Amino acid sequence: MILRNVAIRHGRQALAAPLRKSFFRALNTEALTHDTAAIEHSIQNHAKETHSIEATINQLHLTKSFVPPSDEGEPSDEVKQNYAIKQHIKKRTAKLGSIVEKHYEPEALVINPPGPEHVTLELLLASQSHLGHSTSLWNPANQRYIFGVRQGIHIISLEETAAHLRRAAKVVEGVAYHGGLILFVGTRAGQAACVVKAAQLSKGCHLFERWTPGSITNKDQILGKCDIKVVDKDDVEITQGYEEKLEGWTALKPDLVVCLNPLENYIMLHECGLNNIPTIGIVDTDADPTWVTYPIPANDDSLRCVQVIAGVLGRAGEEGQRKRLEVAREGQVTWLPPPGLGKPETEEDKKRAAVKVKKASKPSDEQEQERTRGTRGRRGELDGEDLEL
Amino acid sequence: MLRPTLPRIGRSLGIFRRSLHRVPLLAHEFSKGVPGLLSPSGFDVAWTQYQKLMIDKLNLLTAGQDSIPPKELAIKYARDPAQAPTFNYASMAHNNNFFFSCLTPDPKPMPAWLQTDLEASFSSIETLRREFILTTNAMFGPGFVWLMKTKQRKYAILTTYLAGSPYPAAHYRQQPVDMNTEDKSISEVMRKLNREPPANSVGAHSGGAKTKGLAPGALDAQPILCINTWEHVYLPDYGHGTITGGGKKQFAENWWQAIDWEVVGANAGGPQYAGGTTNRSSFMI
Repeated sequence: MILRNVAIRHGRQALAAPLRKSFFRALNTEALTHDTAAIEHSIQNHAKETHSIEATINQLHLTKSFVPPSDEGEPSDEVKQNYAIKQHIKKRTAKLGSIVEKHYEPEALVINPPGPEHVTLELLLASQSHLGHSTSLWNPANQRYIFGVRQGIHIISLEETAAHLRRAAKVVEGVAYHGGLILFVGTRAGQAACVVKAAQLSKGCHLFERWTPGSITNKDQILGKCDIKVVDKDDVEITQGYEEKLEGWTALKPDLVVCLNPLENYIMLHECGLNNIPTIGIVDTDADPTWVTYPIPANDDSLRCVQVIAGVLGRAGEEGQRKRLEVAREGQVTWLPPPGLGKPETEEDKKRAAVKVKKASKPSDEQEQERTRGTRGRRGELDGEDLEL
Repeated sequence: MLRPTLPRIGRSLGIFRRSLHRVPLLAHEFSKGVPGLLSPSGFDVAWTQYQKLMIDKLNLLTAGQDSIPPKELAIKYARDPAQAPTFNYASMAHNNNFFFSCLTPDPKPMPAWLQTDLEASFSSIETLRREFILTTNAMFGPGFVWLMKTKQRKYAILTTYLAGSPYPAAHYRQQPVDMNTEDKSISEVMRKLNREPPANSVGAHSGGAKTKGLAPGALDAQPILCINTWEHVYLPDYGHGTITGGGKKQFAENWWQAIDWEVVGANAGGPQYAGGTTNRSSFMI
């Protein structure tokens, strides 16, 4: 170590840094050949002189491999490795010391929700899904779901809850399998996390703030500025060929709406009814079961119960999507594109359309001119008259 | 008279809540003792009775709270002197389990990659063994001696007294030295500085550079092996020993023969994380 430092220090004092050719060329705007030649000669002589000193320094093999410590930090893959080791050891030692009994973790319902296969009466009971409202506040239409009365409240039958939940899960899975857009709605405080998770799993949409009235009946005004994309059978976006069509396309409607608190979302459910959109909803003893297509009689006031139901339906949607993509990989497509979408516009189509426009711009016939005026103001959702392909 | 419902009251009345922690299971059946290290009664004292006691105490102290594994509890309460008993029992339960998880009735030779790695840090396995035994012998009082893996894929030995924790997150309760032997008039920072070797005190190789980005006093290393130097572990079988040998020293020597190197290797991350390339900012002298 001492030797090396001495050698380098010696080297530094002995040498001045030789002028590099590249620096010189940068300064020189014109090619002064005689000047450059002279200076290049001197540089070469300089290099020859210093070669002997460099030779003595490089004899110490340590100096060849000397890498001065720098503050740049370690190369990135080393950092990655070290982090991986640390995480590995942490994982190995995390559980040592005792066996912690299985216990209820609230966040687990959102992070890793149960699926339809995990729906048991015990789970529903533990999630307080059987607790209805005071007997004086009931909606008699819910008679069939009520098991009995205890401590002044109606008890919702666990079997009814389980059966209806499983049915709803089947519906969600089916809609997802056939490429439908599912909207999960939960506007009460604390429901945001489970709603978002359920929508993510079933590749649908979520809503956890107030439903803007008219979002379906007046969709082009309220949701007109939302992005739309066209995807193929494997859910890969088709970026070319639909630009023009998408510009004028109408806003989308969901194919299924799952509502976690129907009592606060009457307007939305009414709009769905007007537009033939099936709905699933958690119906408590004081709620009206006719507001939704597929009621799930359960306690809508318990966040744990709502998370279980949202989780189950989200997992069902996930399964439906998985099956859809699986069969799509084998060539089977389980859904139809919306009418009027047609095939993507190729370059040939554009040329043909340009030619047509040119022909139309020639004032040959008045009648022809009138005919070329567009009869369709808006694409998408056609009345059936004008189907191009 | 109304009594407040505190866990202390519950303990005095003999009422226990549902126990959240249970005594963990070891990988091997040691009811007949650890061959070459502990007799059946010695194992009973060191593990069966002691671990049960730690877990029972932990259950009492954490009754009604969230169920957290002992390591997390120790890290959580390392800086909280009001929860010192909880830290102690959680840390002891973890450390004791760690010690017994590294033992095997059927020891096998060290994996080659681990041997290469350790030799790079300790110059030889015999040196490592001696370091361990001498450190164990030198500790006056109960504690643990750990083999730590640092982030530079180097290994080091760390001592923790009593229920001290080797984890960087719980460094506040690392308890690496016997405080009764320290000069309390000097600050903790200065004492730590004086403990370290005098060379390389500036630049990229200094203590300041090594602990860049860490909390003061933290050590960026993870434990992979330990020996339990609490007296109750070796006392029934080895006694105190004499100045020439026996006792704790003999226990440490026997322990070396009973180590499960497969587990240690797995703790260290396996051959995929073995050393090989030298760190860019370090070089051999």
